[in-house]
Amino acid sequence: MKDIYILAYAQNPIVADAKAANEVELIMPVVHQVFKQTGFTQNDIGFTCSGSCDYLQGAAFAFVEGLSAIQTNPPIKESHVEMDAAWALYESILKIQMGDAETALIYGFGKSSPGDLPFVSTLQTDPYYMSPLWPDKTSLAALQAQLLMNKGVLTKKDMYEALTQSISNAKNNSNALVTAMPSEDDYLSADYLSSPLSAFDCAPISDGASAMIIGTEEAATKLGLQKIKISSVHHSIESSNFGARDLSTSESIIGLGKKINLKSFKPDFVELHTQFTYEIPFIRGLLDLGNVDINLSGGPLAGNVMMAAGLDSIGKSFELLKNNDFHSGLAHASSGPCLQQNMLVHLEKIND
Amino acid sequence: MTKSSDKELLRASFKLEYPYERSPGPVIGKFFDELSNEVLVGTKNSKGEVFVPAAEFDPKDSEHLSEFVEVKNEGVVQSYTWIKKPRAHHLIQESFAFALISMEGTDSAMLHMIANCNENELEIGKRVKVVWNEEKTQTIRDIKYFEIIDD
Amino acid sequence: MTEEKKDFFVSNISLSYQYTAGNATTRFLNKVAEGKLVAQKCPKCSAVYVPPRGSCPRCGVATEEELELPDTGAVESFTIVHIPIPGNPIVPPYVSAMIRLDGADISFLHLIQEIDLADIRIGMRVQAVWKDRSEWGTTLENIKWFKPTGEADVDPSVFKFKE
Ligand SMILES: [Zn+2]
Repeated sequence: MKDIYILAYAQNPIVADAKAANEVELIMPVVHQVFKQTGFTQNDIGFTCSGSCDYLQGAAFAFVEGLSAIQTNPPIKESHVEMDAAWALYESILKIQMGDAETALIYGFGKSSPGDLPFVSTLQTDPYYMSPLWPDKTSLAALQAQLLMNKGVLTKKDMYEALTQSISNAKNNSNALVTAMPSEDDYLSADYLSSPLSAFDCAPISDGASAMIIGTEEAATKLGLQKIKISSVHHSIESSNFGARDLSTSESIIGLGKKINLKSFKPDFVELHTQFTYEIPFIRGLLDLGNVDINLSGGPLAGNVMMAAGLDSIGKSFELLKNNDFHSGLAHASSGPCLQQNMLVHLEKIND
Repeated sequence: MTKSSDKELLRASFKLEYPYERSPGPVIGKFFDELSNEVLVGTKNSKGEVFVPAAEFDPKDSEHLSEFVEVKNEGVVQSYTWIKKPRAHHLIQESFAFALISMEGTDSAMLHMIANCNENELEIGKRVKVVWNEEKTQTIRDIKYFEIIDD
Repeated sequence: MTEEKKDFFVSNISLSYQYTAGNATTRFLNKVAEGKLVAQKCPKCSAVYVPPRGSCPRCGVATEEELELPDTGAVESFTIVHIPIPGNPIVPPYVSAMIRLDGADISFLHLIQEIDLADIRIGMRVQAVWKDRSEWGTTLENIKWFKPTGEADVDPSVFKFKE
């Protein structure tokens, strides 16, 4: 196996409504930033892979249009996943492992503001038994939160703490969207959208884009920047038939914790792709994370660009390692209702 | 396109529709066919576990399921979420719940709705029964919703 | 109560959106509302795009510089449509053509009318026929269609993309 390093990462300031900006206008600034960080041009990139979902803004084949943000002459090796760009990163890692490329450009973008995101997400569910009933994203998360509260796994107070910690952490993140903090009274008395979740428990509707460049050890050495290595990465998915899953736990997340051998290292911080407050205490327990800092960037509760937020948790971990006296970080990405699909990434600072 | 209040910003409303004709196949098709007769069926794996709604495959080990069993139209709430103010696409426009319901004698849960009750009557473990839609479409909507069984 | 078993059911997907045109396209359409066709030029390779999408896809840079083009051009390719399209008010047969405006490096799709179908050919010179000014909006439908100008054809080799 080749060692693979993150060479650069950039994120647009997250906004609630990107107004007129189209996919090209969202992607281009972050792609230019990662080129600037590395001194690369598209000619230095061996493979390009993006993550997005056309249903978000309702523009069919927007992901093809998005390619106009990058230089495609001469023609490039390119791929796309209809998933969070964390999985575009995974595909890029495989491409480099296969020896097909030395470097890869990954980007993800999402513009949720033109549509009704909780119901756009309904299209992810089973088209025979579930989507005809129009279960929205918030309600599906609420089914899991309710069960966890009922089993005594977590409380509303745990959820409030996850929220306030996220918002307080987001003050150090100039790209974050949310900085207003509700009082505990306001939080606990807020009307539920879908019990036990109120609007405070849901990540905000967000527009934006992020980009990353990864490369082999040779590419990282040539750059001469601080080396941040992707030491381990694993992902897994559970059945879309979530009525047959035990939603009070997550076989996927527990299994990934074992695969990434979480017992063998202690991360200095964890960045979780958690779109609902309850998911933070839930995953903290599942992975036995103790009192390690979670979402120092603020995480998705302080800005949640669909199809980029998973890549962001990896990108933010890269930045935290680069800019602080940290040595090891754990990043998480997820997809699907009730944390159906998950990815864990172990990142390490390497000093030559 | 019309101009909105933002200066020079153009926005156009549009509706995206996918009226695809979906073929349910032999297992899901049989489940829907029986629903339109007001009968609930599930599929059984070789360990004797029953899935309702009828699953084509065991989600744990992918065993192909083809043995059908009829189940009672009563079940138990595994989890629920109360929606006080229904939103755009919700089929019930008065307060209702989405719920995961295990039909009696089954080993999985079905996503559906519970109506005709107050939030404080609802809890995990509550017994509920099917309320049928009068008009049958051979879809999951042939169950209109579930309601609480009075003790 | 028992109905005949159905082989399919119709999915009920229906979602509402507020689509936005993109900053570059918005600038273009606001000019179209004034009867002007304003292209955007690549700062690196000088390629001229109309309608503009805000970037030069071969250079991967934004196209900020704008220049007004005439409403004349030539047919780069065409097809004669014989099949009625649901919701389309135009009665077949009619000509859909890729039209390359004078000074542009890409073509766009529009209609050609006021023509004998047997005469349509690649390289034919055409000009926009605009709706009455009172009906103009932020849409390329301000141009009803293009019609032949009667000028000599252009050599199709000029349609090569700028080196
Ligand atoms: Zn160019």
